[in-house]
Amino acid sequence: MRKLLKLTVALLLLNGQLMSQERVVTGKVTDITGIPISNASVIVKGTNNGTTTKPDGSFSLSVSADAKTLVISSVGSVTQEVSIENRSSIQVALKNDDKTLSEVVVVGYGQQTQKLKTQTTSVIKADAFRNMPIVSPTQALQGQAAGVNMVNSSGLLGAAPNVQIRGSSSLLGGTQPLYVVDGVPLNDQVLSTAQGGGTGLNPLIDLNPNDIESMTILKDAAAVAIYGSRGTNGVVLIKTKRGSNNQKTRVNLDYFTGISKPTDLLDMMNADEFRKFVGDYRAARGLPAISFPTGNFDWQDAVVRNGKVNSYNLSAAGGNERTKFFMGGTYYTESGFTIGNDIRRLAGRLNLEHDINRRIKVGVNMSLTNTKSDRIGVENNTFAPLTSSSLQLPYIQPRDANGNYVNTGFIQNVLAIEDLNTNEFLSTRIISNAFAEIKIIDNLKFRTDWGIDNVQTEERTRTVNLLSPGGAASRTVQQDRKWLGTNTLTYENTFGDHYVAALAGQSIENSDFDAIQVAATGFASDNLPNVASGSTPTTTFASRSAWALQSYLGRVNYRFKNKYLFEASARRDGSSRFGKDRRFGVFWALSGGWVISDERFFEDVKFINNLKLTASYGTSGNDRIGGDFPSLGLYGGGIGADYNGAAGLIPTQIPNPFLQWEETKQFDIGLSVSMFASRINLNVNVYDKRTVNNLVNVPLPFTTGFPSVTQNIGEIQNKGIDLELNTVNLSRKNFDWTTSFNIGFLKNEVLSLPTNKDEAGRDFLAISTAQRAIVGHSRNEFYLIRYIGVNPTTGNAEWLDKDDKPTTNPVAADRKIVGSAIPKFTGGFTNNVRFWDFDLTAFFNFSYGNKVLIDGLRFTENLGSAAFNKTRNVLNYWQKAGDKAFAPALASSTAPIFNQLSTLQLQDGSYVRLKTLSLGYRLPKAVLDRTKFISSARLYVLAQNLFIIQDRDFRGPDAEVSANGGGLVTGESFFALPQARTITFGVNIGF
Amino acid sequence: MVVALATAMISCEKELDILPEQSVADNVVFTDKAGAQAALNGVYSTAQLINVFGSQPQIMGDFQADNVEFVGSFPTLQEIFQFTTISTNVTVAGWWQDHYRVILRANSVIARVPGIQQTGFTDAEKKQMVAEAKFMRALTYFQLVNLFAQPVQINGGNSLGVPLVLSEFTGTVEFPARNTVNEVHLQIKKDLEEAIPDLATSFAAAADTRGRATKGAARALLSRLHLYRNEWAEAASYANEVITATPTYVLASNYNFYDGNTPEDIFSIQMTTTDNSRTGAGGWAAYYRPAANGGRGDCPFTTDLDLAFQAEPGDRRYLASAVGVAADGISRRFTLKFPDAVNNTDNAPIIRVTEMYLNRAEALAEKDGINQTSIDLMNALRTRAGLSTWTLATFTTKQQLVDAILNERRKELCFEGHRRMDLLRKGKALRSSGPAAGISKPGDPKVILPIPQREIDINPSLKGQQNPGY
Repeated sequence: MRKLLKLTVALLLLNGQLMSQERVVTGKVTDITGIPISNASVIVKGTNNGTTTKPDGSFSLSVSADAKTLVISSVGSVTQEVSIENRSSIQVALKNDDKTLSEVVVVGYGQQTQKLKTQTTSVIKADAFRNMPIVSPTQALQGQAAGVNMVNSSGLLGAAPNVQIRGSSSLLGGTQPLYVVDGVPLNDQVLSTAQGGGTGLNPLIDLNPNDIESMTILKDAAAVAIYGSRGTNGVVLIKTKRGSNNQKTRVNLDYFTGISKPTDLLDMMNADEFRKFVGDYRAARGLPAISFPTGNFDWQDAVVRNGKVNSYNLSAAGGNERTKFFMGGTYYTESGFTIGNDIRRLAGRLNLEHDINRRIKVGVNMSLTNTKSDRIGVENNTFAPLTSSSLQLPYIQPRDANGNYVNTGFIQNVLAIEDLNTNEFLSTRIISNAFAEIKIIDNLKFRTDWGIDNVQTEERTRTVNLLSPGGAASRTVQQDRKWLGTNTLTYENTFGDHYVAALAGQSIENSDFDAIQVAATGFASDNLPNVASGSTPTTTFASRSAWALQSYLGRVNYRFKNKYLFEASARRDGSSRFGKDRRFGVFWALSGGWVISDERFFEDVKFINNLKLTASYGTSGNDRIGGDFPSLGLYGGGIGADYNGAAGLIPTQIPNPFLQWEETKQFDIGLSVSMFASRINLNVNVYDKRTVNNLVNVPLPFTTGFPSVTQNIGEIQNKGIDLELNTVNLSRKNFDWTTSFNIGFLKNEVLSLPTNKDEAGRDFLAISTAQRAIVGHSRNEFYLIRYIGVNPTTGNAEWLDKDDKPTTNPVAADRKIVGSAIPKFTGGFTNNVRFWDFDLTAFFNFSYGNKVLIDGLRFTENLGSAAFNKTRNVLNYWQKAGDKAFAPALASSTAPIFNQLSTLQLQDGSYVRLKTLSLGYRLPKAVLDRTKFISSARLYVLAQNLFIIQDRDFRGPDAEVSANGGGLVTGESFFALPQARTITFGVNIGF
Repeated sequence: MVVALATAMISCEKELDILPEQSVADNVVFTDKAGAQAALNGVYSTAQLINVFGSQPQIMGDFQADNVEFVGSFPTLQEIFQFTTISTNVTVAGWWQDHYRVILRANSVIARVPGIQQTGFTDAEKKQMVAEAKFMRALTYFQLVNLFAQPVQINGGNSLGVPLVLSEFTGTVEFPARNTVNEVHLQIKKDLEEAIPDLATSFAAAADTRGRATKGAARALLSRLHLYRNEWAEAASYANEVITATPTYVLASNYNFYDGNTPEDIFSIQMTTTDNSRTGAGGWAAYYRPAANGGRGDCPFTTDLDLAFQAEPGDRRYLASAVGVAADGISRRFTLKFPDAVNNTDNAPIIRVTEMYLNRAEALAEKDGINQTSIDLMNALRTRAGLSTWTLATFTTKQQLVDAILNERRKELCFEGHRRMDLLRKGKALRSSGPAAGISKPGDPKVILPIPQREIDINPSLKGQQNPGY
């Protein structure tokens, strides 16, 4: 550190040039039509001396006598350099910027321009999700970029989303992308318990969407290879907001408030219908009658409420010659549409950059978030409000005659649970980095960047005496702490027609994890919330683990005449997660581009202003191969292995020293076209992504004592086409209309698996009870008995046997491939219209060709059980010959098995949804000028999930689900919360 | 300075050697006595699982028969209750899996402990550990074969049983086929007979005498094995060895012995508060206690069992029950044998002295017809229950006595998992009324469970070995 200081001082001295004489330059900056441009930046080239233009476009700047050139720039215009030798007054007309092409895109460990990059990336800017009532920015990935399939797993607040970039290329390891915030790769271990669902809450719940300037999605090998063993699932680079030099401080206040309702719910029987149905069923089958209690209670109505959302966001950004800053804070509260589900987040950020002198720049990006979730059970959990309200017997009352809550049994009284119990998840997260950038010589830059990502979470539960005799409590504290350091050296120079750039770097990352859990029962009083007040400790658990990654990385760019583009990148990763014999992996990519539109022969094609062809090939890895110690043979102890208080050990894992990363080889060809002065921009990419050494839990016969052994065996291919089209349809003074459309076609195919033949002789791997990865098919094929319906003549439910003949007694051998959970294509469609002071945005997203399994229907369409409620559609049962009924005759031998797992629960998951519709009004300048301090103000109303177009007979309630079974299972739900229909009103005010 | 910063980070590859803190590498377990004892404890611990002796296979023993009406919401358990089980039933797969976990963990102890060289670790200690593991292996195989194979009375024990795996898993995957019921029984017999000389008679602590394998436990299990095989002489003789092993084993004088580790217990899997989580969805009490007491209220009395008790009023065993609201919202009668639904600490009563009385009485009646010893043994139980005693004159035929003993056995051991096998081995249907009555005879396909489909799918030796009807 001392050395750094000495060097800093030395460089400062070098820079200390004295300015002897000064003169004043004045001028006016306009656009090419002559309209003045305010707030344009005017800087003396090579110095920090500058100013900004006034509303009439004029400026006045005192410059040193030897100043030769002014650099004039403004957002949306092409930066221009003007000579001021022998001139003291200048007129500058800035050309409209051809934004799309000159736009700087964040890439791994650097940035490039849209026009000259050879990597395949998509950028989602803050505008696309600004003002949206979303809990996490990962939700903003939906429908915004081709090839990115984001599925909201449920309508739960903070539900973990399922994000897949260019398909899912892992069978066992993680399939979620790597998120990198300002250079800090985030830990995304799920630290909240699942509570009935496939996974806990979104691990990135602490990221504040309001802090984000842009998210760049790295898709092809050229883009991801530099992230080495973590690049396979794609990378999302999140850039947070920052100020600019010489910018007047701008303060923004954003506020919105709104309400939400579920988009749809299951139609359940009331008590009279239930009593009659069960009575009829038992009578028809000769079963003894049950004398049911009287009364009726609408449980669904009792658990659904008006959700509320409020968000306050205040930020300030600005800068002077040497320092720029952004600071922001958000207070966000949301109450979901089912009882007991609330979230509250307070997030703050400070981004600061300072030029110590011409050569040294330092900066920090700091964020602190505190999130509190009042949780509810979900999915396959009878403590979940929505699940329970669907299952609870409709004659059961939540309260006794005195108005006190009662214990309703296994399907518990969710009103009492949410009213009396505690179920909280608190998390505090710090994501920060600090850097110094030193220009060693003009073309050579050194950067050292140090970051941390610390998450601390606490889960607290407390069950009252009524619901668990004596009461029960638990407390779980977990910490996931990461630090990393990265040093890079970049060189950039132009030699005539030749441009050369090179990057070399080194990085280390260390992460350790800690979890402590205690649970107890036996409380003297419900007024003792603390777990330590319990008399009987039932769990004492602690777990620690750690991992480390050591890497070297590099990239070389070469361009000839900015027309022929080449890039090569590589990374060598050593990871503690890999087996001792496979510890280091090298990943690399090569890419090239040809700017065809700059060729002489293309000059005549006037309507195309830019045409670029790119191609890339390379490798990347996936290090999410099952915990931190997947390669070791292990015996575990603790309360899972003890007997009668004496310590025990049980084998937990088979050793595999050869375990390594999954490796993806990806080929990508892309074409970018900009037409009619960039009013139409089209990007098309075709890719072929092949993953080898796929980690597979090779199933072992249970007679080995182990369910499976993890090996690098499988191969998966994802092929597809990504298309993004952005158009400016109309651009008039008071009327703009732009459209963006993206669509990603995907074909996923499993190429090989360990030997494990199904009835048709194909190797397969069970993903869930209903899903299989099958060689020659996708990794998420539903493999089920085929239900065909109720025979109008016999009243029997019928299925198809393996020879496609109807049967009333199907067996497991009759199962067939009946569709994939992977959509054939997904995408989004956005229209933005501005007319005078109004703006209108409509954003649709869509998914086509995927199947969804709603497993909860096995319960609600169960004819035989009197233990839980049913949906009203089973009232439509067969009664006489010719009936086209939904359910079989009650006396039929098929009635008790009607609800068994089959295609009866499998449905078409295709949909188009109006995800967002917003209408805004900008207060006219004349009005604002009177306030003196408000510079801009916009009022808006925004609606989410207004309508959906899906299969008319969808029994769901929502086709957009994936909450059951964890991250590797897709398209399955038990009783997932449907998406919320939210309507918010808000203001954006600038000061 | 650049160099300084960069070299500060030049890292040591040793940092990539990270070991977990809550697990030990597999090669250090069987190196000393402590490790061996821990591995043996791990066998018992695995047997606590809900899928093994933690309740589910035992409650099934009552609800697939006529003692319990399953009113819970688990579709996989409902299937078994309704005789509509299919081969992809995940609960069945879980039972199979965890039984083999116990077996394979026992196999490791049996294979590895004799080779441990450590000063002070005596041969006797090693032999006893091996013997305890053999007992656990025998007990687990016995329950497994009863679940997945027709009783020996069907086809003379030559039906397919379960695959016998007797060696440790070392990484080489074997694909065993099913052995016959007789072969499995023979192995169980062999393990128990080999174990008896090396097992302890008792331990210092009651919880160990009842909770660990002992000579008495092995003999008692042999008695049950022979009884299930209609080998009356051996069943009677092993039962007698235990009955006479006082004061270690004494018939309890009342019904307060549950979870008590008293001389009534021959072998009980011990459950403590921290084993709560071992049993996943709960233990015995979770099924047998209503929600108001912290359970699920899934397993109330059937009307049939209620009537069986009411046939002879004043039965003290019936008093050990109470009415509560069941999972279906209806008030029903529940047993009080397993009270702790909050922490699920009720021990699993695997073998107790009463069963030895019943085994011996039944075996002698089958062997010798109406006889005084059987009557005396049964009168000890009937007196305890507050019922009138029997005399030789109470019965006119052997069958009457055998049936009466079976009826007492039902009322004595109900909710402890015996009923299904007691009916099947006696050639009786599991249900005498209701929709399943016609499909619940021994030999009917769905009175036994399907070999999990997954096992058939991945083990070529099991192809074609699925139980008929699945």
